[in-house]
Amino acid sequence: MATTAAPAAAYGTLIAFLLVAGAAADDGAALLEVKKSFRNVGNVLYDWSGDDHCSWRGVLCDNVTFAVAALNLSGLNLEGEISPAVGALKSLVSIDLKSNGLTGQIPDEIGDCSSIKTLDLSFNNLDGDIPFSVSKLKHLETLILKNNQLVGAIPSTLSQLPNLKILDLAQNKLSGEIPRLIYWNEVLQYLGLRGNQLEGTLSPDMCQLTGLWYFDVKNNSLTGEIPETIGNCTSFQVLDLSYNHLTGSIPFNIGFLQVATLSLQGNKFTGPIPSVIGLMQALAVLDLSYNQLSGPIPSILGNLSYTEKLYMQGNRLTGTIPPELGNMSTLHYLELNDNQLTGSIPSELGKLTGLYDLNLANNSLEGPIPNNISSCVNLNSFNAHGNKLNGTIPRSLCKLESMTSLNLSSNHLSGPIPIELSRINNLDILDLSCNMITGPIPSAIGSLEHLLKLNLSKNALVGFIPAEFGNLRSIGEIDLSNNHLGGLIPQELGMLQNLMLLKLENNNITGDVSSLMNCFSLNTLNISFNNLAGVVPTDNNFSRFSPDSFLGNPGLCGYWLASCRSSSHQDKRKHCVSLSFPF
Amino acid sequence: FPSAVRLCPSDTIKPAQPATSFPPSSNDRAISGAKMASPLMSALTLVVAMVASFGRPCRGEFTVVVPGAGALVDAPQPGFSDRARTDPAEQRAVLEVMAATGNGWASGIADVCRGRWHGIECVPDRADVYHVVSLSFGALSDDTAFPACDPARAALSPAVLALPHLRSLFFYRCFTANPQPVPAFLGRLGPAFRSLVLRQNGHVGPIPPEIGSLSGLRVLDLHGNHLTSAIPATVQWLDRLQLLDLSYNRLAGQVPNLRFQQLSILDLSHNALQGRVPASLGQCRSLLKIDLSQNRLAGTIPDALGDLPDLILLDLSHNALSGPIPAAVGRLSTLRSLILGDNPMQLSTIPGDLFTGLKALTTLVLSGMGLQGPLPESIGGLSQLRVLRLDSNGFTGVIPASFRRLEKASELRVDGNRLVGPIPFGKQMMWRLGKKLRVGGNEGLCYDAKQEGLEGAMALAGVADCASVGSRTTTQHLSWKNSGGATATATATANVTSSAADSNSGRGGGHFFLVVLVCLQLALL
Repeated sequence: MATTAAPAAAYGTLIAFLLVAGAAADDGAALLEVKKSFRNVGNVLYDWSGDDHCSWRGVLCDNVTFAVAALNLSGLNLEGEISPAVGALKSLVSIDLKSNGLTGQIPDEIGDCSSIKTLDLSFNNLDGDIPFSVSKLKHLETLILKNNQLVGAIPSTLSQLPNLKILDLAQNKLSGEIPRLIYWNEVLQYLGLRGNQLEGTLSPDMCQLTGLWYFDVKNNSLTGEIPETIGNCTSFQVLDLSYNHLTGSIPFNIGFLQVATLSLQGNKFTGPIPSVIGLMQALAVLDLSYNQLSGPIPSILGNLSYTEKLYMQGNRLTGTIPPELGNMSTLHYLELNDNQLTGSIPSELGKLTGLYDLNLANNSLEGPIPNNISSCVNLNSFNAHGNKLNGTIPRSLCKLESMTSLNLSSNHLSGPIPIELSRINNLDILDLSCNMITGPIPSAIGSLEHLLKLNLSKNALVGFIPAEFGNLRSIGEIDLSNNHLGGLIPQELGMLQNLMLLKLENNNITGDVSSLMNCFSLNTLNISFNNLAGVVPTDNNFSRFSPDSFLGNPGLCGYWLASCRSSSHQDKRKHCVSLSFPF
Repeated sequence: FPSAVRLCPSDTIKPAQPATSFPPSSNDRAISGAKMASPLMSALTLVVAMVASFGRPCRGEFTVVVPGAGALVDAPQPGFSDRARTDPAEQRAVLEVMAATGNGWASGIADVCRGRWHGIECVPDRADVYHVVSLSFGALSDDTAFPACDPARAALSPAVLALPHLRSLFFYRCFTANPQPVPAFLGRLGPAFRSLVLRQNGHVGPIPPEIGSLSGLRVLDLHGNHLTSAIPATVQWLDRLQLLDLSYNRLAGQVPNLRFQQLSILDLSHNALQGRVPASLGQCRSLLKIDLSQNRLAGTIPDALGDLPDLILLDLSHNALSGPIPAAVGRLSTLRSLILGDNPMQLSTIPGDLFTGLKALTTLVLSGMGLQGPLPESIGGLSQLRVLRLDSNGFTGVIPASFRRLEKASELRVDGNRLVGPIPFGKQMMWRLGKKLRVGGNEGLCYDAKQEGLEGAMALAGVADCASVGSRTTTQHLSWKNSGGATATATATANVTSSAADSNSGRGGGHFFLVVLVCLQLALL
């Protein structure tokens, strides 16, 4: 027995070796076929020739059998199509062709790569359907087809992939419903479907099995309500349902989740914000913005001590801003604008020392701006536009040295512009328009050398335009209209080479306009209804401005005016409408 | 005994506050919580008055009827509790289970319910004592950091029996290098136990019949092991199952007669099951998916499957099923995928109207079944169809003109049949399908070369121009007469004629127009 067995074994080995060698040689031929259907390969696949295909770029072979185990040709600017010959590479475990310019359809033959675990064809221009044959890849764990032009429905048969863990089909043109069978998979971890044209409702099955941690259906056309069963999705860490057409209220059961990201913005959710959200302590991002939510902001949200971003803007929220929000010690973004909030700005917000962005615009907030806001030392942008805030602008705001944008426009603020504002060195945008601010413009404003936009219009400012404005080297827009400013247009304004918009209308400014002749970037000019005199120059292309820019200056004459004396003087009017200045 | 308590949350709800409230509606969790309690619980109504704000003391209060001590409080829990205090016996049990999987390091965990350890889920009871409800092991992914197993020496410890509130066990790729049977003691897990997932663990031997004692089981998933012998009859007692996945094992014997009202998923594919597809499946009214593919099942497909009102996927491919396909299949109006390929249904024909009712069908695979006779006309009415595989059969006659209506089809295979006549698709469909239209191996098929824009269409490689094969088609006709029988030929010929007339209708219209012109001229004269 032994004597016969030995040669038999030897033959067996030999045959096995020949089979392996033959298979490996076939792999080389298959790779050359694959190369043939690519275009733009000259530079990147120049070494794809000769016998040793295992040394070719992007080809990884099995150490023992020399069969091709992995194909990594990502980011090589390849064009052309994926050849059906890829199906001949039976030992492939991984295909990575992401970030190329591949076109055409995914070949059915991909289903012949029966060992494949990872298939990444993302960031190409592939079109057509997801092939049925993909559902035959029983070892497939990762299927990433995002950012292509794929159409059709998500095949229900993908539920027959027993090892599928990552399914990312985002940013395609897939339509139809999300197949509910997808959710009956014990090992699926990641479901990325954002940016398609998916319709239908969220299936109650979505939480049948609890392995899923990433669920993203952002930017589709889903309708209906969040199913009550959402509470069973306890393994979710990211739940993004944003920008769909979802309706109904946010279910209480959402409180069972311990997600880090809850994105429900841009839907049609109604009803109150459930207090139970305050128990979701793992939340880092809570975005409920641009829905139709009503009722108060639950004070228990102040318990969310790990939350960095809280977005509730664009709803119908009423009541006051809960002082408890001041307990959200890691908060960076707090956006409550475009609601119907009342009461005053709680001084507790001053405890939010990590806050970058505070937006309270377009509510009905009253009372003064609390001094404590100046404790938010990292504040980058503060927008309180369009409220009913009164009192003076706190001098302490000057402590907010990181601030780049301050918009307090369209309120009932009074008193002078604090000279201290000039210490906020990084300020890009300063908008105090449409208030009842009095006194002169502090000349120190001219030291805000980074300022891009300055709007002090529609107040009761007196005095003259500071010559120091000539130091605002970056400034693109200045609006001082509808005040009681007098004096001359300072010569120094002629140094503002980036100035594109200058509005000084409805003041009492005197003198001539010659200083503006050197503002070559200026394309919007309104100096109407002042007491300017002299001749409007025509050189330096100054005639680019229409006569409307100069109306209502009795002493001013130009080439288009019949007479230097003929001009009616209109009433100065102020329109403090609650519209956002286009800053 | 249950008692009502009034809770008055303070300004800031403290972490791990017990019993915040029950959900206002009867959702899954509230029900399951109730079931865990004494039978008296069922007589209780859960009164929830959740008033607007938690904010001010004793204004945002709500009344909650809390079940008796020992029952779990199934309500949203704050994530990071410092107050959690795990039942000491359960704490010991968890550490024992961890140690048995090769996670001896866990003995250093002071309290397993504190700090949200991955793979361990706990729920408090009324007395603020935490109980373990779920344990998960195995390297599922980088993002789901369940405790990994030491495959060489990991085992499933009987200490799980000391977890009376346990609902779920999940072991994934855990015991692969230490092959062991599915432990029979699992059958002694308590009535709270709902989900047993032992996937790809290398389990050997038969499924222990004791599994049938898990009366509360909803999920039984033993996918991808090396399980042998028959599926124990006791599985039929698990009448609350929602998912039964025994696929990718070496199970033999028959498919049990399941009559589970809540069963949604039945996957017994890739085994060595024999016998018939049980008609009792027709009584599992919640079924969404039946996958019995890659077995050795024989007999016919039972009519009763046509009674399943929600079925989405039916895969019986790669078995030894015999024909014909029952007309009842045509009643599955929610079915999206029908995959019956590779069953030797020799000599079966398909009724022309079989598919009329399958309005939702997107995938139809009837490859390699030895089907004969004409292609069913009704397939053309499947407006959602994207994948159609009819290849490797003995279909005769022409491709029905109705197939032109398959506007969403992305893949269409009729290769390897005995089809004749012109391919009825317009150039738009031809180009859309591209390489995914497969018509090869049908000697009698031809294309209309007069139709413009078909030059170079991939699918037509090797297909002849109809004008040049007139004589060959006749030969083909004769050859069927010898093999197929007179009736089949008659139908086929009739179809050829109608289809040809159809494709000529454009020119026919032209003729009509000419006749009208002539008539007008005559009238004028």
